[in-house]
Amino acid sequence: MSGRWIMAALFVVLATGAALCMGPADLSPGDVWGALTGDEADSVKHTIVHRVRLPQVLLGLLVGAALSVSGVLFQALLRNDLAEPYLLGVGPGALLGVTIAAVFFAGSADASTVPLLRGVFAFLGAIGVAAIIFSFARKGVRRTSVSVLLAGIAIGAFVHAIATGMLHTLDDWPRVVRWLLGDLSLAEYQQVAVLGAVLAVGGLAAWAWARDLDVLTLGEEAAWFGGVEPRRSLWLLGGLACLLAAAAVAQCGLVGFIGLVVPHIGRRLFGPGHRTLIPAAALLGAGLLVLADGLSRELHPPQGFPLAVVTAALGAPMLAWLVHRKAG
Amino acid sequence: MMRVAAFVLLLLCTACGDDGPPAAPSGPPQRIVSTLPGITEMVCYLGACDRLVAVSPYCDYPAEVERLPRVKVHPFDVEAVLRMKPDMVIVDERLHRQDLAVIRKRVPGLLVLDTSRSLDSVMASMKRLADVLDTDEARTQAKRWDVRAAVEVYLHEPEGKPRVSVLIVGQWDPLYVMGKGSLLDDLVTTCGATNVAWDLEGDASGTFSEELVLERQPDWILTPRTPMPDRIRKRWKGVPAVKNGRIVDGSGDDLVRAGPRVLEGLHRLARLLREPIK
Repeated sequence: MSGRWIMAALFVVLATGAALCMGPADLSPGDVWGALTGDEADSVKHTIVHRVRLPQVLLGLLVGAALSVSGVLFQALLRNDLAEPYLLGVGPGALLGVTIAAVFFAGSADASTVPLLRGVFAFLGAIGVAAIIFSFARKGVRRTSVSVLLAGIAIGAFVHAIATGMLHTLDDWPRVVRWLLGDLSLAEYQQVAVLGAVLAVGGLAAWAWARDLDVLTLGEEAAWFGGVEPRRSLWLLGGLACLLAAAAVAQCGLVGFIGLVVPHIGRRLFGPGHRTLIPAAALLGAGLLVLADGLSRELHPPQGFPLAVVTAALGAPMLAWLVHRKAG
Repeated sequence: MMRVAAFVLLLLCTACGDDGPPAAPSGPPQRIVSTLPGITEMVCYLGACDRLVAVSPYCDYPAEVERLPRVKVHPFDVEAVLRMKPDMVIVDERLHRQDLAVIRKRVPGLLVLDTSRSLDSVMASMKRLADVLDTDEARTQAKRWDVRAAVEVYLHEPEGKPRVSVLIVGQWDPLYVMGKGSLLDDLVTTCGATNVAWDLEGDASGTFSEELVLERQPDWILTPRTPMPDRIRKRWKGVPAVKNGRIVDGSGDDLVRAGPRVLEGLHRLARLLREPIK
């Protein structure tokens, strides 16, 4: 068991190191190390590492962890391996919130309050979509998790269409692409601090309710016998999952696949128990997203690739391999 | 049943039929639709402002065009254009590249100009337009502009002097810049400077890595209409252009519009970039 934890931690450390060394500027690993440990605060290398790459990598770690933990929670609550923020429509809901903030407040609100408005509206959008989906689940034990997921896909597609339509009115395609396909390139330390705080609260709360999640995965009746009130847990932990997904979307736009793939890898390596699965998914998701972000900067310079393209390119084969192994 | 089949076949034939482009009227055009501000300015500079019957929503110079009806040009609204009964519609090759095949089939007297790549492309477009307008005034004006352009280029092309580097920003969030193949790049290089986004692939503009800006240390930054956000100013405080306050408004119509006023833009830019670097 401890060997797996060491491997996971090593993966995150290596992915972080590799991501810090990836990018269109010509910096060797030695340059990066020198910039991190040296005190030449005015050098170009120091500026690139400290002002561009480091905040981007730190934010990438947190976004990956937040999306993965959110995926774990949704999969447990809906007892469906396909449940994740993007497919369930919670991600597009958050995007709609971000878009509303961008369209209606970007010009009128004080520039410093725009990120806060974006976060609040992202959460409202995510929780709004989740409320509709959960109301399907609430209608009874009889309703299958597949129909709940299908409802999520339908609502997600609808909300996604509205968000895309609103972004289209901005007549600003670079920004549209940024929000629809994910981008961490303008990461700031303040964003890292905000998302870090949300993840700490949300992640710890999810971890504290790990036993409830274990019981919920056994079904509603088992949950009652186990002393867990399913409806209350659905709203409480669902809200937590929305908070984590919305916080991630508000920082970097829509990034698919992480919330879907990472819980599966985590379950495969660490087992289904949520006490271990939640921190494991956070670690693996952080490492995977930061690696994808590094590749998105390294490939096709000087423009780079959209983040979601790389996460899908990495995540899809991983998921296919897992499904194949499971079937085998 | 046979009748229904024949009707469906007829409908399909009608839908798939390609009659080719509508016939262009003979003689010089008298009812022109311009789809770009630079083209509108060219038409008026060549003395044919009174032949314009509609322009794009962005056309606001010279003052005579402000009273003209507007047609949506991006995406191209064929119906609105045809409603103006034009005998010539002038489009830009780059702006309408995606729709050109469709527009060609539906719009009579289409003139495709390649205006926005360089000073040379503005010059070539002006000459071609003068030939199409077919008046002595148009030809004389085009020739006059040609000579003026050659003089401006000669005056501002420095030799053997140290070259300064320029970043041409189109948008801050995300960072979107002009690279090779854009008019602004041509103006900047004509003034003896280098564009720091020299390796940008694609169609003259695109998103650009912020760390390359920090690595390439531009001496000047041409900005879009929106000022540089404070957070970018903070991150770029080590960049010479930011350190020395060499951030200039690059959104002036004389710089971004591929039309006759671009020579004034070139003049303005050359004077700016000639200022000594600390």
